Amino acid sequence: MLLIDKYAYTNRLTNTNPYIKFAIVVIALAMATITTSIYINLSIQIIMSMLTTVVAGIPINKYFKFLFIPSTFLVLSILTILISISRVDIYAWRIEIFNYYVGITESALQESILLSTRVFSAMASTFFLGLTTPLNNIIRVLKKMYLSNVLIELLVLIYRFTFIFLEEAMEIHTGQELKFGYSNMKNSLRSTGLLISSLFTRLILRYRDMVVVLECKLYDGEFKIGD
Amino acid sequence: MIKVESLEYKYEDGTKALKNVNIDLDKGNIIGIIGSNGSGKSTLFLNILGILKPSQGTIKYNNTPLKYDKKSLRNYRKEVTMVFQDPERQLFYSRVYDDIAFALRNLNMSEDEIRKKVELTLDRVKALNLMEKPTHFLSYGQKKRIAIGGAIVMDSKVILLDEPTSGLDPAMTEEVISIIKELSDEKKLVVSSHDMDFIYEVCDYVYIISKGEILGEGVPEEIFLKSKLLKDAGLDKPWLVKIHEYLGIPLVKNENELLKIKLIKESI
Repeated sequence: MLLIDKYAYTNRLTNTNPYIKFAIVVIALAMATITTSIYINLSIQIIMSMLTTVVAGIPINKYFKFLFIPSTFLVLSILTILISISRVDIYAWRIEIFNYYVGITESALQESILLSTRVFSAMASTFFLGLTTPLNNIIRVLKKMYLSNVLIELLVLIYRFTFIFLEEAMEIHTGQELKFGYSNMKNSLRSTGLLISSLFTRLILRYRDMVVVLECKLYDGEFKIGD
Repeated sequence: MIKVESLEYKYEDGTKALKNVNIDLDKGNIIGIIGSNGSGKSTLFLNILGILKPSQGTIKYNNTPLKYDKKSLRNYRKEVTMVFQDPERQLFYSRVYDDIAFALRNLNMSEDEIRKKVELTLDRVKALNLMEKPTHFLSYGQKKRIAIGGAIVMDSKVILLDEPTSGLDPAMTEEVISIIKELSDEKKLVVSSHDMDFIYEVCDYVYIISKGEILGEGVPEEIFLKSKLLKDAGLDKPWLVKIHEYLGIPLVKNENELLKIKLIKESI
């Protein structure tokens, strides 16, 4: 099962009122979007990280590992904003290649700093919600906010299928590994291909089973969540 | 109740999965359907549920043939439901409470009523302490209990149980047996299995299925004496029947009765 999900169900804030948590996160996100102050963003980020690690008790090393994955995307996209190419020397810092200048302008630098603090504070906020609140509670809040049923159903199904997907993939992978499927480069490539194709058929089978189960549980086209 | 009459089911490629199957669920309260792997037990169950449509023959519920339109099927499945072999596939929601409540919510019951029923059900399957747990945190045995709970919460009249004891440890098997026995007071149960000891102890009428055909039927005390029939179906005798045949000990239904005989003998 997913580690994120495990924490969501076992941290110290699991049973805290989800509406309060949701409100805090929404306010933090709104503030981060509106403000142009780096300091507000930084403080949101610090407060949210503290709430997640110190208050809710998510291990700090795991927390940074979780943050690391989206951070790589973030760094890549910030780099494209930061660095530009021009024939005219408008840069605060630059290098010259064949009459072109590649560098960083002052305004780009400021923009990037603001943007990255904003994104990090938003990320810390969503991580706080994701790591401390079980999905069912989040759904309950969304339902109260009159989010359309189609979106809620999608959420339920995506969540369910993420687990099915991971379970099946891990099962196949373990099986292959026990038969030395990943012992060298050639085998690994072949095994990965096999894994993908058998994963696909297995998922279709699981989907069929799920349809039968839903039929038996009198599903009539809408996932009911309750209060 | 449910009657299966000369049912035949063909796969898309034309191979017959079920041939001329006749089953009458009035013959007992806990009906056993036994057969080896791939004998057609699960296909039969899916036919009885109306998920698969037989190529020939009919399934009758209270003497009216099953109709396959959406509304009739929905009404039918309020009365007839199933516990699947693999509980992982049956559990849908990530919290035990929500998973058991799912069918009730589909019936548009009020949340108060749902809470009452879910608690009652969890108590019956001895899993009240799991109510708030996420389903993927549970052990296999616990999942099985919740899956059974998800079926009995619906107050249906018939429950089909596909291999209810497979993969369970002895203690959990005993628990499932006691749940099944309790349930049979108010519901009709159909149990498929290839655990002969379990079927022998629990069922009061047994059908033997092999390669899609019913090879034999009868009360367990008789059917399990037919060695050739069982061998043809790829099955074995329950140990209580074996000791009856090999050691001449009177044929009893369960271990407790055996102990009683032993005590009586000793007292004599």
